[in-house]
Amino acid sequence: MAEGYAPAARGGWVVHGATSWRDYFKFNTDHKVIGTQYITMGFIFFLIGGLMAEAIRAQLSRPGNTLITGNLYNELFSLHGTIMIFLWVIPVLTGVANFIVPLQIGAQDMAFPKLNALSLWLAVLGGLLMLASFVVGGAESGWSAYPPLSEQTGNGQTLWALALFVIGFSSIFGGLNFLVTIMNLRAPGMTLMRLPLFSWSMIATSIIILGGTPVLAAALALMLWDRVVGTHFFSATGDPLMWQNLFWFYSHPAVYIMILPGFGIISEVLPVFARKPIFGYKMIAFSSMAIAIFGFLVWAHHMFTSGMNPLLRIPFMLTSMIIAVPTGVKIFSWLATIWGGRIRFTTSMLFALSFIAMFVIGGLSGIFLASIPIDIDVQDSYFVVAHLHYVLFGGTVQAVFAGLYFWFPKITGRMLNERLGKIHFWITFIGFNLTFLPQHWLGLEGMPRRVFTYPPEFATANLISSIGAFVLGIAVLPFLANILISLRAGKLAGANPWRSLTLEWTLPSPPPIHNFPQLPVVISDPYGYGRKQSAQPAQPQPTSRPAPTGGGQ
Amino acid sequence: MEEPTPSVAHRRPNYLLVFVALALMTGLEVIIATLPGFPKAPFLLTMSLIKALLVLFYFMHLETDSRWYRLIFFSPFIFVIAILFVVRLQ
Amino acid sequence: MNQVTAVTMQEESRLDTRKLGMWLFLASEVMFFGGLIAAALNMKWHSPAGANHALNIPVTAVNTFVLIVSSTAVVMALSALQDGKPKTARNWMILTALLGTTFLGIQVNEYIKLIGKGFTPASGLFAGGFFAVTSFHGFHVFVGVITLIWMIVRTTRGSVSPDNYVPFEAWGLYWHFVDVVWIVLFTILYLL
Repeated sequence: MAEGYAPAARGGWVVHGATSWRDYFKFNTDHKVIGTQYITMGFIFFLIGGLMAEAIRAQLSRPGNTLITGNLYNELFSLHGTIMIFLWVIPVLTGVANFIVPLQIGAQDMAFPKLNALSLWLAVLGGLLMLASFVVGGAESGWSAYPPLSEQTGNGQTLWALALFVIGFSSIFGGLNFLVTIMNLRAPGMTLMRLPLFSWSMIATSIIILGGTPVLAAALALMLWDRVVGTHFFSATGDPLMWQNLFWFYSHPAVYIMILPGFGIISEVLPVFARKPIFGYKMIAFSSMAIAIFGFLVWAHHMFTSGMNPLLRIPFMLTSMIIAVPTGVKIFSWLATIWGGRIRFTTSMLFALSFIAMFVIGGLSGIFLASIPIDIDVQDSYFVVAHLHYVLFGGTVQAVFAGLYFWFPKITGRMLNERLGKIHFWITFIGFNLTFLPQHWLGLEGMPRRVFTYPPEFATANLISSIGAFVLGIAVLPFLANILISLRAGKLAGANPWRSLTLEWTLPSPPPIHNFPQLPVVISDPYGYGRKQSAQPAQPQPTSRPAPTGGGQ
Repeated sequence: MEEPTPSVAHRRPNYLLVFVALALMTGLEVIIATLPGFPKAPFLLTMSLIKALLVLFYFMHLETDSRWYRLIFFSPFIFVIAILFVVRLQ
Repeated sequence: MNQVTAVTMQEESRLDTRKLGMWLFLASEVMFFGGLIAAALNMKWHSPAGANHALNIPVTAVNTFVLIVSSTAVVMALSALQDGKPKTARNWMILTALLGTTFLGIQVNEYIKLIGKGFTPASGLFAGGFFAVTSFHGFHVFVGVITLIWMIVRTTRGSVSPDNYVPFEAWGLYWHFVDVVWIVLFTILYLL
């Protein structure tokens, strides 16, 4: 329960709230500051991971290239994957959720503000350890770190495992915090059926985090024991397949950790810019829960070619196909949401619409991969690389951008420039598809992943892909310029520039340190666009009113 | 902050009785484990399950507290069993 | 806080935030120990029968009893707090801390003896599983003792009291859970 917090202390290293940039480098218990810290950290690692990708694609632009080969190349693709997943996507989504969820539910802060700050700094520590592992060298077995190789390489792999172990706890504490916050700190009148869908997605995400991440922690701990103490859990004399089971038990649900908040963002953005209520609110909310639970029962589809018990493959194929259904429900609900709507093509909306299209492509290649015979043919090929980038970049990253363009005004008080935003969008869209569309073909034709060169017949497709990667790299520039310019000179946003109905938009931009001056009382759901509620159709209808003062309840 | 639930003191379990049961069962387990011959596993596993449930329901108040706590604590076991099942079969 | 008279969802949900947080944390610990135990059992299944003969059952049985007594001491302490007797509660807490430390001491002593006999983390599959799982458990006991000392300090100061016993109740859940884990480990590693 939120007690009264003192405003930012000057000079101390534990503060609450920010009155200067220095407060962002302290152990700050304000969820808005923590959210900003996570988002900034995430973007820094996005750039680092992105540079690694550029290096990889530069090497792969011509067959027989000698720019980056051997061990360094292995490290690059391993750290690229690890950084993008654990230090970009998960932190940036955690950051957006940290900032937005308490505001959406009408709370003063998260349930455990100090734990929240600890989570952030653990993530930072993990990030530093991860960079150290790259410098030391030896983390060469991909982000999935299969033994025996991962137990035979240099010390960087030990640092890698340690870094992930630390990051895992950051994540677990964060998930715990979100669940308790959403269960217990909702404003009066905000029943679960009036909860905004982004917050619903965080319930589902947090359940996955709590259920899955500890198993990764266990696996990493045992890998560390193998490497440092000399046990034989996963070594050649032990059971290397055990690693794969424990690793994928987390890492498959992890992809749902990475997409569900993205789904939540899309569910917030579409109704606002189509000016229509969300279609199928309950279906979207419940399908998130279904994905969370079912997502734990598909993991061995990453192991179809591992030598696993053949009898177990078919059940996992079935579950992997069934899990597409709840996501399909969402896609149809979103399409029905914008159908007949009055669409405003803001940058945020462009990213959201593109998300739907690109994610469907990625989802379809996923269904192909769920089929055992197809998977046997394309496992560990560029078909998988294409699939994962369509869902993670075409999906999650575009959702992140949709969310950032949407909530930047709330977070900073200023509007982002729409012109620069659209340039960013289109260059991203073109670059992304140029990079990853050819990779489907490469995989089907037999090009394996995680290789630093290839036979000449794959040259053209690889060249196109590398050009696309270069274009994607350029796309970052208008985005960065937009942020820097808008922070200083962007148009003042006011409380509700998009005329949205969720609670965060009832506060000034940026919100005051203690969020709501009076506890709001929620009287309806947040998607009532276009409903006849008063004689002033242009105004968003109130979904909350201040609590009655004086007198009992 | 006061808990608006009925006072736990009214429905406090007999902790000493639970303790005695736990101690006796532990002794029994050790004796059974050292006896040769018959299959000990079902007996020992059941004993430890009962002991665990005694601590969970009486010491940790799962019997009398909100059903949410039972849901939260017992849900993960399905997944633990799934892992054990897959690992055993491999 | 300001003149809020509306009922928050917490009061409607009737779940204490701290207890809810602890139960969720314990659920995640079930998965953590679940993963570790799955790996340890896997090592056992890949080992010949009798791989655990080096383990000393009688001494560990005593240690198991020590933990059971400590859990009982915890509920005695909680009852004392709820009955308005903070000093009695504190005495039970101190006893718990002593018992927890005893458990750790006996455990470490056993490790030393086992290593002396050649039963080391690297000496065999089961041995590795044994040492890894039990030392993670031991670490949890250690953290429990440290946090218990903090509870004792708070009780002495009065910030944990008959009017505010829930923090100790939440801490107690952690301690009991660590006991439950040991109950399982004792059976599957030592007795079976």
